[in-house]
Amino acid sequence: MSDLTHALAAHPFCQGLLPEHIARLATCATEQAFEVGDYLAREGHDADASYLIRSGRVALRSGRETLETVESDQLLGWSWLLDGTTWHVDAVAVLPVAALRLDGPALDAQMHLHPAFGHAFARQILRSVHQRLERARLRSLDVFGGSP
Amino acid sequence: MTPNPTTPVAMEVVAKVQETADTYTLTLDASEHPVAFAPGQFTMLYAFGHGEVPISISGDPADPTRLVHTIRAVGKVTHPLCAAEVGTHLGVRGPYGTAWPVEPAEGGDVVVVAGGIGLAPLRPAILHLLTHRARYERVFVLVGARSPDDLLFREELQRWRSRFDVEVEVIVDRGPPDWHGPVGVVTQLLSRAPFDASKAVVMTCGPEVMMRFVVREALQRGVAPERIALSMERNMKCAIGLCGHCQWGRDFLCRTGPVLSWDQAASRFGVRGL
Repeated sequence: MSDLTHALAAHPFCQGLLPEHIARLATCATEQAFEVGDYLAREGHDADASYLIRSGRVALRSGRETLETVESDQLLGWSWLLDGTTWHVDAVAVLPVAALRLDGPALDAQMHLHPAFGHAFARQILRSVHQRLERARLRSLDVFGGSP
Repeated sequence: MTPNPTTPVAMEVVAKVQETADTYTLTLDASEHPVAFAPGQFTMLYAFGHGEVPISISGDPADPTRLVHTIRAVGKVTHPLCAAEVGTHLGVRGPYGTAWPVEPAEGGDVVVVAGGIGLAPLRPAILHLLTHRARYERVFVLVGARSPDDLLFREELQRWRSRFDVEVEVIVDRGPPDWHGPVGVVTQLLSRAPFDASKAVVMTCGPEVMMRFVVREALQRGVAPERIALSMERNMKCAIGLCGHCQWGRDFLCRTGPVLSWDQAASRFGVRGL
């Protein structure tokens, strides 16, 4: 097992994926590191990748306001699944970040060529989207704004 | 315990700290009537001329001569309580209610999950854990707040964080430009905390919807329902189990609460009308 495959297998995002799916994912993955202040994505730029954060912290910003942070063990970015989309926020490292970059177009091609892989990968993405949606719902309630 | 459960004892405010824009910590001199309490218990605080409300004790259980409460000014009684200056007197009855399970938690990991003003009722438990640190395995203090400006006990959180034997994490709903910590919901901290669920105790206090998500995450991690404790706030009036204002299903929470385990609370939690 290559280092990259091993790193993917160890990431919580990949829990539940079959070894052959992880191997296929590895063909689209590269390791990347970001220093504090580096941008992983810029609002309005073409969305062409996902990042599996292995360590560190990424702030999702709109203007100067941080909307949310993405931490180790989480997924950042899925817009490339939708044709012609751009990043909706800036993603900037606020702690040194180690990540696995998943190339969107390469993954898209793999998903079309191998539907079983595509189905499994899409489910993993959907799980991350679901978690993010749940957190957004909870925050929208502004639960700390009123009485406990 | 104050001498008569239905008669307030006057105690002098000897210290006052503004925690946030609307939240204050008052220290009362209880040296004449020491109030021995267990972490999680509350007293009835009387603002003379205004009324009486239940307020969780936020002080150190090791010092019964200084009775500390952290109060958010949200109502007709809490506003005058928060306006009380050093030298004035407040009425006190208590303590009342059940306690955080700090003794059953011995020998395992402890995860404290607080949201907003919910950190105040948990502070005595945290102080107890730190005083008796050797009795516990890993200790996590996970705090959620609306913004950095809404954090309670900021200096103390820093002190706890600087210790090497407790892991303190803070997350806020809204992150201003100068905030470099996590932004999101407190359940994110819980899902990442590396505790041993098989022998962990989780204690949580905050808005009920927050506690619902905390409990769900704790259960998913494998924490047993009887080892998840939460503090239920209701309209306590007499505080001695007579008037029924704080009834929650079969319980009067002033007596069988405010701290309940999840196996006690699950069947009623989120039920409309309760």
